[in-house]
Amino acid sequence: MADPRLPRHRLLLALGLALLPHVLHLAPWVSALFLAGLAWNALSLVREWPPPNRWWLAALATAGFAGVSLAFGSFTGRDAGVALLTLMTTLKLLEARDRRDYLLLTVLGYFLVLTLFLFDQGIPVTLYTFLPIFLLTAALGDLSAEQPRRYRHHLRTTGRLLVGALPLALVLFVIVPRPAGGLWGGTPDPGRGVTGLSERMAPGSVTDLAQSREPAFRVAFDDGIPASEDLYWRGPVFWHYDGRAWSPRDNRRWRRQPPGTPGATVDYTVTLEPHHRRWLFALDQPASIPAQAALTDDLQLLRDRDVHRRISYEASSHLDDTLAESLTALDRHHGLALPANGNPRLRQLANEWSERAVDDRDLLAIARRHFAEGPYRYTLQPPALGGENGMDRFLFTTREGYCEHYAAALVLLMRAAGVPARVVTGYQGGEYNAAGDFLLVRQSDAHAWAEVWLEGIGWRRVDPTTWISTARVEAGVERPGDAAAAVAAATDLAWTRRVGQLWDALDYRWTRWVLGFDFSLQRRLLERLHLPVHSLVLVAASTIALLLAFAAYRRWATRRPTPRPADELDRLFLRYCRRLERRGIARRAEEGPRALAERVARQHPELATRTRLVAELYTRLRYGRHADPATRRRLARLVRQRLPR
Amino acid sequence: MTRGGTRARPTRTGLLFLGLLVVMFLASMNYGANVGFFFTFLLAGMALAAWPLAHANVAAVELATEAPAEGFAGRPIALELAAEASRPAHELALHNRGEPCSLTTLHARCHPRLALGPLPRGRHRRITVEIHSLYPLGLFHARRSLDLDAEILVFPAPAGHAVPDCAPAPGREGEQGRQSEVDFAGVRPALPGEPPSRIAWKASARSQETLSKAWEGREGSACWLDWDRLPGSDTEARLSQLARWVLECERGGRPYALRLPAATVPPGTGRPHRHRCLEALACHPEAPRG
Repeated sequence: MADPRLPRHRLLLALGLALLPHVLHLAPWVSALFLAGLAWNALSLVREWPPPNRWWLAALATAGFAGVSLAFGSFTGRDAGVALLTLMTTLKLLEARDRRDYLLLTVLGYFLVLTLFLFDQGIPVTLYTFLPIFLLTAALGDLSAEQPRRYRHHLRTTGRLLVGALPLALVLFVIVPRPAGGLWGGTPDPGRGVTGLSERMAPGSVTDLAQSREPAFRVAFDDGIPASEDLYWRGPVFWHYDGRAWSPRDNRRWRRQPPGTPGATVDYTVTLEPHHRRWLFALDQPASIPAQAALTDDLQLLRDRDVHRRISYEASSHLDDTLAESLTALDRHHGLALPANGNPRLRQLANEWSERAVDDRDLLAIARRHFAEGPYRYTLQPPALGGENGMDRFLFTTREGYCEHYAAALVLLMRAAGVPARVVTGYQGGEYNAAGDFLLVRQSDAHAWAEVWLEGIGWRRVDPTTWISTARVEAGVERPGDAAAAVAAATDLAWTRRVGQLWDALDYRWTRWVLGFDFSLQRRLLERLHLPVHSLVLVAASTIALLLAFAAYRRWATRRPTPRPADELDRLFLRYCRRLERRGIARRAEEGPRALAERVARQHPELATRTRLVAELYTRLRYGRHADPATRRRLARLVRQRLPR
Repeated sequence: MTRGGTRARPTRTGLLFLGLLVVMFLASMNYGANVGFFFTFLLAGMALAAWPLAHANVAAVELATEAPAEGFAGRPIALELAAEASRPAHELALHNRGEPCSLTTLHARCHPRLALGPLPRGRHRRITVEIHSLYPLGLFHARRSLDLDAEILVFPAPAGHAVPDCAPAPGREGEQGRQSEVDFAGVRPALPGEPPSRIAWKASARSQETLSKAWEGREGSACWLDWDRLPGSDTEARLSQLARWVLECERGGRPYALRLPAATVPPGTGRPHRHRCLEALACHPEAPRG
């Protein structure tokens, strides 16, 4: 039977609150077990149930572990780890009986709370977390108190501690250097991110384009947002077409440097939502390579590892739709590659165009006329094309599609006409958030366009979707600085939308400055304070030194006054006295060695012989006729030895 | 009163908490969870803030002994203390090898009774009291030991055999036999715990309070408890024997006297007399040894 005096219900409440947000992502059976454990523990107090049989517990533990193993396939990783932690807490709830068990439960509760941040680090969760942390700490005080006390007392104590700890936590947050990255490689489980882009592009096979309003990334420009027709966020580049789907080229090379396109650059910071791929996005064309990233020869930025959490990076770009570079033989080969057969009508049309066209630019103009004047329609719900000759069906039968269809069709037409071309995917546009002064790019802004190699010019961006629907590209971006538009927008915007924007702005700042506060930001902060980078280490070290000095001072200020030993002999004797003190025997001021030895003999018979001998030797050396070195050595040896138990 | 040093050391829970912080720090690092870092630091800050609080909580307490105390060697002795705190102190346990005495909150002056652990025979003018506390979170065990000025008289533990020569006559025909050896000296207010045979029932019935008979021994008729007549050389054993005899004689109600090498207590009975005898035994000097 558990100790009825333990203030358990308060701890149970705190534990329940700690688990509550986990319910959203834990497997339902794990949450259910935990709640059952809580209820059992609470009821066992009222009903005086005995703790469950050990065999029952073992069976339950085995079943739980087997369940986790079945559900997650392993015991490592975030989701399995949190499920295991929850199960362990549940088992402890069932078998807890004494104070120590409940203290362990409190610590498990803290751990449960802090694992929340492996899932969600948003503002609401962060604010909520203060509640279970506060109550768990109060429970800790509650459990450590000898006598049960009013809850208010513990809450007040915890409040004081929390207020005292906040500034320290903030300082530590800013100054403690934290190396980024996987210690045990337990990256969050993939597949949770929503993205409008994919590894492969198969126009017509998937008919539901990501119409998700989820943010893809946010961008803060150093000076002003570029024109919307320049907002092409470059992502994966597709070269290879197998008759159905597009995929990247196999043998891509890394660029040592970004292309040397002349002209001014636009500088900005991107805060990228996790998408569990390596892609980084930058405006076309990237003019710098962010840290921990590399640039491919087809101008795609790739990170050194998958993006499993929000990251921020600085980037800059040349806003130029033409990449003036020569074409390698390999590029030409890949840029002209077509499947051996399929889509015969497309090939025929391309042949007609190439015969009519004077040069490559003329060919492009013919293509443009074809799409702009033909009965093509932009729609997000195109009919499925399926099977072989899908592009023929799109070009000549359905004539309905979205960016991917048009980009893919144009690239195939160009290739069939003998002009190297490739498909570029990414995002286009974005929504300006006036409250936060940033551009929000959503998953629904995902886009695909074409790049065509023009002889003597280079790779030229061509967006066939604009030929069909100018609205797709030009609409959407509300621009800063345009006063009239801002006023119109302000009156137009429903207040809910404005609140939404404000929240978005707050969330952005949180993401950028709190969640994105990493070593590089630490460094920048120090630079702004005109402190050298190594002062970070200095500040951390001095804080620790200060704390140690404080501890040493407290110790010194409350030390026990010890008389200075007069000579070597006294030092030996006092050393022995200190040994005794550690056993709880303090020599009284008036006590001589012999009196002390007698008292020790009475109170601690196990020390009698040793202490009497020490006293005897001391007296002999102090008052004896001649100090015998052997005796002194013997005394020193006795003092050095551990006291008998 | 001597100020002892205050120490606050991490408890088992404190070490567990430290482990939690380390694991949380590593997990936050592994998953790059900045909010995790913040709360790890917040918990660390709370633990750090708890340390001086634990320290100050115990350091604020002032203790003094309130009244002299006495008892027998080897048995717990209750000592009345005066406790005071310069600021409210919480969850204290006072301790001297006996049963600890807990104080939930110490605001103003209060008078806890502390059970002292078994003490050796003698007069103790100094007593060490330890103050322990787990306040505020049980992460630190604050401890301070105070040497208090005290007046504690520890009598030898009664031991040995019963009173030999001058044991009270068997069969307890009592009153007459006793009257022949001692003089009835009137009545006096009864002391708590006096045996019923000593209560002057008739006189008590007439009076407002309970009275008991007082006797005055005559030289020669009293039982002399003599150090020199005890066999053996063990001082403590002899003192314990004498202590037992004192108690037995007192219980038997017959006058007795005590003769020690350094002190003599003339014959008498009653609580004050008994106390005088026991005090003489307690203060008997320790045997010179070695």
